[in-house]
Amino acid sequence: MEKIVLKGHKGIGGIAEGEAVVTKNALSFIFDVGGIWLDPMSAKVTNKQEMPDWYGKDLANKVLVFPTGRGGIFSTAMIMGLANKDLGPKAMINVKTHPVFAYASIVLDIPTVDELDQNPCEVIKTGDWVKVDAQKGTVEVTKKKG
Amino acid sequence: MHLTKDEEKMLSGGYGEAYRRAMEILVKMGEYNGAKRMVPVSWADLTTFSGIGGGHGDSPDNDMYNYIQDFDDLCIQENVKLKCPITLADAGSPERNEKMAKLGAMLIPSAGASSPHDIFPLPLFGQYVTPGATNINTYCNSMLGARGNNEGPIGVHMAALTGKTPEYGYLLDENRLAKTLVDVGDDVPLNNYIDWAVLGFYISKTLSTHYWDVPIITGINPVGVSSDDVISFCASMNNPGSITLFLIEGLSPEGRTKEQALAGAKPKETIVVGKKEIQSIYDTYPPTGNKPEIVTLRYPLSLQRLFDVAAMVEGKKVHKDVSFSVDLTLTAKIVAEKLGLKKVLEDAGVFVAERQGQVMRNGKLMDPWTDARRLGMKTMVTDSLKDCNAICQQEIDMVLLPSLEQIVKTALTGKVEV
Repeated sequence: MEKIVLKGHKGIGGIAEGEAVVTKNALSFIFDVGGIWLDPMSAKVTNKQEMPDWYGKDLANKVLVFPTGRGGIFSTAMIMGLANKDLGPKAMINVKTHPVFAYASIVLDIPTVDELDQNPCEVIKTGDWVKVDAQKGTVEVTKKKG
Repeated sequence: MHLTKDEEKMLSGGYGEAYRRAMEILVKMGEYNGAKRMVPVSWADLTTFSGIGGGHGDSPDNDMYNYIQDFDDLCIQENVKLKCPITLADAGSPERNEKMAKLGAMLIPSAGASSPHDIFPLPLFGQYVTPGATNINTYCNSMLGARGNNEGPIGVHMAALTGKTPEYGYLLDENRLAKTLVDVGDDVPLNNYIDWAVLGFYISKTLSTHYWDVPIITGINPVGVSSDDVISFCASMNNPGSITLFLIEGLSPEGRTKEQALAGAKPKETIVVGKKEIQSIYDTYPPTGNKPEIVTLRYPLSLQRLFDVAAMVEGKKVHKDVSFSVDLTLTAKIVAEKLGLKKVLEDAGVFVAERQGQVMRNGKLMDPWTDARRLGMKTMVTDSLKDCNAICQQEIDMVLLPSLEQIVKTALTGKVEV
């Protein structure tokens, strides 16, 4: 099976693996994910306008691959809320991590990496199996069959 | 990352567990972002703990709130004080306000708590700051030349306690130079704060994956631009995107000229904004044939807007089928009470909220961000794209009108005034 390894610097947290969901749009947990005002038990994407490619997708326990974060400091709160219900991301892979997301990763120990040697949003496809080793700063991608 | 002896002592637990935990978080953040050292913070602002759309950030089921509460309890137990020279806080709940006061925070009333209208102390050029609200941070960076990253509640809280923040991102000279050019055409309407918010929304949306790139915005005539205009622009810059620092040629202290902003480099991208692009944003939230049930001015009324709205509603009545709610900046609140303008608004049937985001509907306080669909609302008219972006997800028809006059008239007549 085809494997690709992306390399970067030491990240946040330890090791995690899981199925990747990838977008080229910036993500806001507070404005894009069900959460507080629609369904606090859901990690489903509810923002059709800003996140058309992820609309309706359940982000729970996935490895999230997105360029960076956007609007709203309460993304930290949303990630913490979802993580405490076992609905948080398994890992996060960014082109450059938004500080609001980085603090959530630090507090929750979510493996998070950025500034890799290739653009993760192009190399990784939704459905690929991804292993993040944040201390080594590596991302091992096993391409989805077909 | 180089730490001073004092910072090392904090990190090793020499000042107790609270400082140790705070410094550990800040060091992890600094190392992740390649910071070489910590720098002193002149001002940390915890106001946005008052929560999402009127208090939900402080609700007991908010896990971040619980995390911060536990942290504050530890601070109180260890009798530590916030080291940041001045920290303002309106925590949104009496319980948390009491804790914050014990830690040495200065409490201010909640009016306009997440607007730069009343920030105190006013940050000075070049100072390191950690404002809580994104729009305040963007205002400090872009219009005052103070320096702050978009840290969010955890980073702000730890900076308030330790008086330090890692030196990365927008704290560094090299990251404050413009990378992207945004050329605003002559045909772009910039008649009021709503037009400015729409321009900001378009730029922010277009550059939403560019958190780390500073745009230099050209084509704006600085004459006649008001602080209200720029403040609503800053709010939109953080929704839908996340622009922490922008430079407007001729208005921003670090962008007196395009050349200064770019430091002689060529922009890596140029974006041209015309009337068509602006109209596309208004068209996303068009007037509907529905009756407007809720009309709100979600940007807190500044002094100017307070006088404007009071003059428009004086001696008139809000339509019986409409709930019309406003809230005020801290200064406007004081002036409104002193000059009797609050009474003018209330006599006309306008609900003057104590906290941002509160709406009075059928005699009950509600928050459209969380309650709109549950209460069966169909249509809401607003001046806020942030409202539109958030509340439309509840399948409510959101209507963005391009002037204060049209919004107030809608509240008075009970039909959407195009």
